[in-house]
Amino acid sequence: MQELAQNGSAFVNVDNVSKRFGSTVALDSVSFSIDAGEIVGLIGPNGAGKSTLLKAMMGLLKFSGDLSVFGQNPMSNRADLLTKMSYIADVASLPGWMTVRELLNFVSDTHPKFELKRAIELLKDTPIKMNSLIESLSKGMKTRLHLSVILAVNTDFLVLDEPTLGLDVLVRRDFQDRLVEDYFNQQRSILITTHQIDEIESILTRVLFISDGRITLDINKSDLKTKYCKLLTQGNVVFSDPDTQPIYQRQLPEHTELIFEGVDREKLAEYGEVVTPSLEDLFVATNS
Amino acid sequence: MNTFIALIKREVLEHKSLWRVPAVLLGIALLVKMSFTFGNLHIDFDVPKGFDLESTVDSFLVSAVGKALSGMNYIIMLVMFVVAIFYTLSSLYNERQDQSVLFWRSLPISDTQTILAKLAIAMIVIPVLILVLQSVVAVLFLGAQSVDYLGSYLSEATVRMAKIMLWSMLPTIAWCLFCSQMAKKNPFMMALVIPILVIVVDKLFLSGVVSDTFVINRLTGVERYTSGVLIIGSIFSAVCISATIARRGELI
Repeated sequence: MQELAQNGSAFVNVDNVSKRFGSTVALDSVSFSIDAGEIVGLIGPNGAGKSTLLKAMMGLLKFSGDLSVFGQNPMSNRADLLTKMSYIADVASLPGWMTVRELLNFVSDTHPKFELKRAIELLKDTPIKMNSLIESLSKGMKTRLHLSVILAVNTDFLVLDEPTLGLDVLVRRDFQDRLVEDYFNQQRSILITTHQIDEIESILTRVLFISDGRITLDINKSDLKTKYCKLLTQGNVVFSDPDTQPIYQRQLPEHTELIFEGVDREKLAEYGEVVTPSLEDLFVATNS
Repeated sequence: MNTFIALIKREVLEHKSLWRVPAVLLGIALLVKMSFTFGNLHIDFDVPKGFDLESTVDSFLVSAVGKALSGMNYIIMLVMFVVAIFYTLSSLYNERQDQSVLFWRSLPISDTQTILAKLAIAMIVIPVLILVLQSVVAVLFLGAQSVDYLGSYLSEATVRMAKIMLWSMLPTIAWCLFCSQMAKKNPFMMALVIPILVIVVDKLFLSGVVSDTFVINRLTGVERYTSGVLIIGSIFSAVCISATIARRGELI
């Protein structure tokens, strides 16, 4: 049964959503909500259920449980929902036969929230010309164009599915900067899916790990520091205290890495250097 | 409405054959015109019964020019129907191939609107274009005489065109759209092979009624158009178009 969620203030409310394809469980009782002012990374390996979850949010497949986007059931009206949220499925999907001007005019004619002036302004300092054929642009420029179009759409929720897949580091960094500078504010939210964690780590405010259809970790980036720490030490350290046990351990040529959850950093300081783990560290630690 | 006009504009921009082929047809008409102004024109081209000029129209034309004109009219119609078929076969297939369907579907446009716009190109824009092209050719061939000619030709041709569109083209176009959305590799083969199989199986093992109603009657001429054929064709078209819309909705 899909019912409208009671929580009207959240942009997205996912409550106990499950999905099976035959005997395969794609989503297993997934629950979370996204509020204004968040940049959420939905992170998981290929086949973890990211796309299934996005499809459910876009109203593209049936599921069990409750899911609402802007208080609406996404199954009921996709076109209407897309006036409130913007969406990039794949940055390589702009129609190559169009010129930039034709593209902007088309979106302007079909999207009630699109601001043509804003799009032109966003493209002003780029090598992208109005008369350029889209297929003649480089991959980086296509990405820039797609993002400029989406950023000129005045919606409060932006969903990006693997947005920087296959882009080089400069384009990737520029993409992230544009998101933060030209779109994000406290009234808006962004949901980004990726399987390359290190790619987007720096701009996220919150992290959702998904693995085998389950959310394995849901944490604000600001809580990361207090909840998790990583100890870099030499040799083999054994902790007798049952409350001070690493959740993950890794032997490297120059040192050993140990990751702890909810352990006082000062307790560990005597064994070596204590730092905050990267998302990649955490992902491996929480999924192994 | 704005959205629908934008969608129609998009189709015309994307599918350049929609205006390139008419330009070529006009070029050919110009050549024919020049050949009977400067050269020796012998028309040896017979159009099927029902498509030749009415005798009342024919009477005031020089017979060679009249023959050339009805020949051009017939060629324009056939060529533009081929354009309509290839346009619908490629339109949904192409946007899946180049992934642009992902972009189109990220805009607040329903699949129904998109597919109805494609249907409108084939069912409204192309037949209107045919009549416009035929009128331009008439003006080119007949000069001042074309006013009288067009007055009588257009009223007759519009009714005939409407019949062809409803009885023959609607199910054909709906089937092509369906194949364009469904085909994994080659929508053209799918659109061609399945009806041929139906005819072969039907003629060999059944009475032939099915293939007569679904395929043969629609291709063999205006005289055989009955209301039963129209109803079956319309139901078939509605099923094809609904299935196409539903199928496009399953893509992310």
